[in-house]
Amino acid sequence: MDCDIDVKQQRVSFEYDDAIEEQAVLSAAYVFARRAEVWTTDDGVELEAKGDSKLDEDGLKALASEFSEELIAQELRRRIATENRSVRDYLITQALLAAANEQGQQPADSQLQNLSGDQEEEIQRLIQEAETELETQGAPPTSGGNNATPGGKGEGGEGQDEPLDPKAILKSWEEKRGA
Amino acid sequence: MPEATLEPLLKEKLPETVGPVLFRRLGGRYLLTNDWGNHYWLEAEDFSKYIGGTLEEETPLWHDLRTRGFLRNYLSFHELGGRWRQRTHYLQEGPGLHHIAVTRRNRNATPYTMKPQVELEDRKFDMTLAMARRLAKFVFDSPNSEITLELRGGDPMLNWDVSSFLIRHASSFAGSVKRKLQAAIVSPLSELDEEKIAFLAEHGVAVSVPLDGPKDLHDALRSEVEGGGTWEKTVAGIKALKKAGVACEAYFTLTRGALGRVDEIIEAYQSAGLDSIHVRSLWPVGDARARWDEISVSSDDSFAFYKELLDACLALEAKGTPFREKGAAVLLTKILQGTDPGAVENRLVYGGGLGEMAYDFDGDVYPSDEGRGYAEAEGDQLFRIGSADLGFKELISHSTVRALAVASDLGSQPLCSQCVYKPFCGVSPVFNVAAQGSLHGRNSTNDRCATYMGMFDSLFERLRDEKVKPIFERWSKTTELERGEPTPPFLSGGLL
Repeated sequence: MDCDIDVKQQRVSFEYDDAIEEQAVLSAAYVFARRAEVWTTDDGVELEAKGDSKLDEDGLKALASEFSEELIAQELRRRIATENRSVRDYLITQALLAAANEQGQQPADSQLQNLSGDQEEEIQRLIQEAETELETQGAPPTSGGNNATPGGKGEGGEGQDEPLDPKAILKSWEEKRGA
Repeated sequence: MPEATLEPLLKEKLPETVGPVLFRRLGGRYLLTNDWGNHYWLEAEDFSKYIGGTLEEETPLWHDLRTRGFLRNYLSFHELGGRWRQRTHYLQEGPGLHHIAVTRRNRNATPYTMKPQVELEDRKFDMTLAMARRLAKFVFDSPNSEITLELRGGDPMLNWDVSSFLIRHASSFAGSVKRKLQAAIVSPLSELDEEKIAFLAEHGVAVSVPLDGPKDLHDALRSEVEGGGTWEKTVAGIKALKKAGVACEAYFTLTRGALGRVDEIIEAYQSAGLDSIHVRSLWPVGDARARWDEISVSSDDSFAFYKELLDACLALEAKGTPFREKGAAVLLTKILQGTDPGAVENRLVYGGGLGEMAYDFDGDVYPSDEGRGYAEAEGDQLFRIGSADLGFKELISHSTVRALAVASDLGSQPLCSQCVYKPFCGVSPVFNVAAQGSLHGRNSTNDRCATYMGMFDSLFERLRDEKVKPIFERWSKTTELERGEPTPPFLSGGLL
């Protein structure tokens, strides 16, 4: 490929195909961020090699060649992404909606229905047992550290602003299952 | 064939047969992937025909591309949509993985805390029983039906009363409300005794242990803070747990001293009775940042080490001795099984807050244990989202969780959005902050990205070997996650 090389300045410049759009140049420059600084010029690009070891003329030529290949790959990627954006978006939107419908229509597992009276009693018993255990083990060590727990609004407190939650991901397990 | 020969294709409009494909030239061929998680190899000549729209129709190759969703005018929306849902079911579920740091005390140093920040007898950095009681119930407020409780520290065994209390009472709650629970502990096993082994076995608690290979390497990173090595205790603990039937595995943190010692490392794991290793990268935080020039590994060295280790594992497998790299198994599950194994750091969107939560000893809540560990190591509570006094709704919808999601969305990351490994990978905004000072990071110079690129390249190159493929198929099934089962422990990030 034709390129201008300045070994002393560690720079190499060349022209690229005008079918390659600016976005592809930026993407290729981003990929090369570890290896070279990339400058756009009126009719091409100039690369300034980075790194501890200096490149000779062949090294700079190889760098330009690799960057040229990356430009072509990035332009193809850009075109593929642009041409397929609508179909990809449609497919993923449909998948998300289907998943949301599945979740909404999913019959509640009989085991996960509302808690029975026995289960409620069992939970109360466990809480009582835990509290008794706390008392019998004496005063727990004080929580130190630098970060005092701020006064809260209590478990399950609601925020002032209701965030958008079309898939009910913010709902607790109990709210979802109607427990 | 270099891309240069594709240049003539730029003169033509992209044919409508080319579907939403991601590609990368690897070893002279082209690897194709797509958002539905399919992959396919094309010879350079066929790739040129595919992109140029001149592929002959009704050939086996054309059918392969069609059934895998690479031909735009033959996409099966129903089938591909189902596959996408299967791979991203976590988007519908909420946090199922809950890390609780029950103490900051640890008898062993770690790469991130070489000198103790907390005196061994200083119990003010222990979680209280009152807080543990609160959390044992709180985690079940999560919208996820299945709960994984992973105790971390410090060393959770130094605050054993609270650790055992949490496991017992979370188990009781789970049983009462018919929810599934998996309990797990990450510990160096310095405090392990018969009573603890019996408890762990009785309650089915999985254990993960730091083991950095042979004694000198391990002790250089994880000596006792009061002086002396820890390797013997750790290895003896692993053997005792295995003997008692406790599910026990180990992780390995890659530092400079490990380079060139793959065989010794695997030998140390095998002699401890382990049949897998989980390689973790070092993060530039805490004491590791201060010693970075001394102990860190460049991405090139990391890649070379990983390839050597992978080949050593495969050589053992070829001789009939099972030994796998767990990180590879996780990625292979995504690649070969088309399912999500529950690794919250390898998601379309970072799992912090959406797939996991982390609780510090004092009840502070973080979206991920990486975020909590970052606060502990750096003294920066950037990722703190509140306390257990708040409800899940407030925590999940916290602005920090939203920022993490936006920053990690692979579709908006400049390189990731076009990366051939996008369907199987994920970014960590917490790592980005630690290493590059921003949530978005710059993947082109990001060591985590370079490490994953190297891992994926290694795996895909080896997948083409017919002798290796069945081994990888087997590995991929070891981390397969059944729907309706709790997220497997030990697959998330963190400063361990």
